[in-house]
Amino acid sequence: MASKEPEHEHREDQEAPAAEDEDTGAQVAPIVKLEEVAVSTGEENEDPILDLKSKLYRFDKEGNQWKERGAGTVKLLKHKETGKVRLVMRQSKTLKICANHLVLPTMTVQEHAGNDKSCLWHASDYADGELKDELFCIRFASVEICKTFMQMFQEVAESQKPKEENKDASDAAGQLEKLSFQEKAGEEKAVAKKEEKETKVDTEKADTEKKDGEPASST
Amino acid sequence: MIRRSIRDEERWVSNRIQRQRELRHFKAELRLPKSLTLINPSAIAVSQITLLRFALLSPNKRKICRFISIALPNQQTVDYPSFKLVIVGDGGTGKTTFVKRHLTGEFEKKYEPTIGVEVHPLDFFTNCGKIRFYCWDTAGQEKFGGLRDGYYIHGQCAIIMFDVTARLTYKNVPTWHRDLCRVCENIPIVLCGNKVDVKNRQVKAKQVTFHRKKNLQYYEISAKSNYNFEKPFLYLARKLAGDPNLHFVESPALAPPEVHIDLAAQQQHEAELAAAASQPLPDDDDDAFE
Repeated sequence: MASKEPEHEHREDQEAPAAEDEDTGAQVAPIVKLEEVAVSTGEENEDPILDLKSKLYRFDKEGNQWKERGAGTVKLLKHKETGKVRLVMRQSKTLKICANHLVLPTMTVQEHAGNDKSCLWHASDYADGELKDELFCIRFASVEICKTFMQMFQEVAESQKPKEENKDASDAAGQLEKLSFQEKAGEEKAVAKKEEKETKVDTEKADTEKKDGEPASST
Repeated sequence: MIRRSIRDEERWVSNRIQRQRELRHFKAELRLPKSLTLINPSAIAVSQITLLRFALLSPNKRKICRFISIALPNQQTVDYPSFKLVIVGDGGTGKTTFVKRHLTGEFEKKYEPTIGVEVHPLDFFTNCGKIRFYCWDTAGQEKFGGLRDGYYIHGQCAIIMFDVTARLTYKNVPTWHRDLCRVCENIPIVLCGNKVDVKNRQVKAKQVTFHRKKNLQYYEISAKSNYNFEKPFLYLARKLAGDPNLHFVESPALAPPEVHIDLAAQQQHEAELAAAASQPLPDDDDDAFE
């Protein structure tokens, strides 16, 4: 039986398993006929500005613990027309979506207290085709890659700040319209508040980092 | 087992035409002689399946069999191809963990034996469109077996799982295979040796020969490291469609809708983040991924 199998390298096991993709299965009659279809990644109108191997986790609030979401490739994709950026992560091999959300100016990314190769953020995730609030944590192969990711994420978030509102600035009528609409004025105020808040958060964050630093060093 | 919405199921069974059809089908499936009569159908909903129970009468109207049951999924049908996948194997070999890994990405370390069966739809995107496996994750432990081979009926493909770190689970593979083949003839079957990430295996790759005797496909897998974790599904999809070139493709990443986060929500998120930042990652010790 199976006398002439090529010696495959199989991680720490020396012996080869049945040659990887050898089909030893019986011939069975197919039960469906499937036609090749056009494949759409949904990313056709975007340019990747970041593409990294990583492992993603989601926070299970009930169990107060991190749970794996998938391992694969995380991308930041910038839309060619709108300039909007989203984060899309796909599981390797099955290519299913583990995360899919816009990077918003209100977002902040912070380091994981116990693992300097990973960082976390909050997002309204659309991976399943419905919006869900999630806390994500992502782990990279090295501290450097994680830093690159965090920096890029934060830069993108900053870049998404309401500069867009000036898009129609040349259009005086547009400006007038804005003034006349109370709702919009309200929105602008909210944005201003958020910015204020962000600076507060930064200091808070620094505090928590200090606190978390202590127990981490004891382990 | 949790019994619920019994009234709905009764209504369903009381639909005479459907009931007759189901009875005929069931008889054919079990290759029962026509002279026997099936009576007393009743149905209960259990978790995500419906159990149909029948008594069997001989031609002289003697009850010759206590209730026999079949299980039907309560799943909604979808407008793309779907297949019933039966997953069997000894308790603790990782059937539920494997399914859960595919469903949510998480790796469950805690062992909770499956009672009866749990049915989960699992979708994949291929170059030939979207397909769905209804994974019938059956109990491995005998005492929780429920209907056992009653769950296999209408199975279109199967996975037999064993644990390469527990020799007995491999020894029991022939029994699982025999029981499966009694109900499901000529379906594609994949034998999976799970937990190959563990350093000291009890069943080495070379010792696995059963698949050659019975013409099954074999994969060494690890639900923990994701090693070959997509292969069983890919193999089955190729066989069911008769297309050796079928492969998984990127599922369309739809544009996420705009969201507006108010200040209160944002503050809450920040607080949650701060708390979560100090919780350790589940596999912090293990640096190898991908």
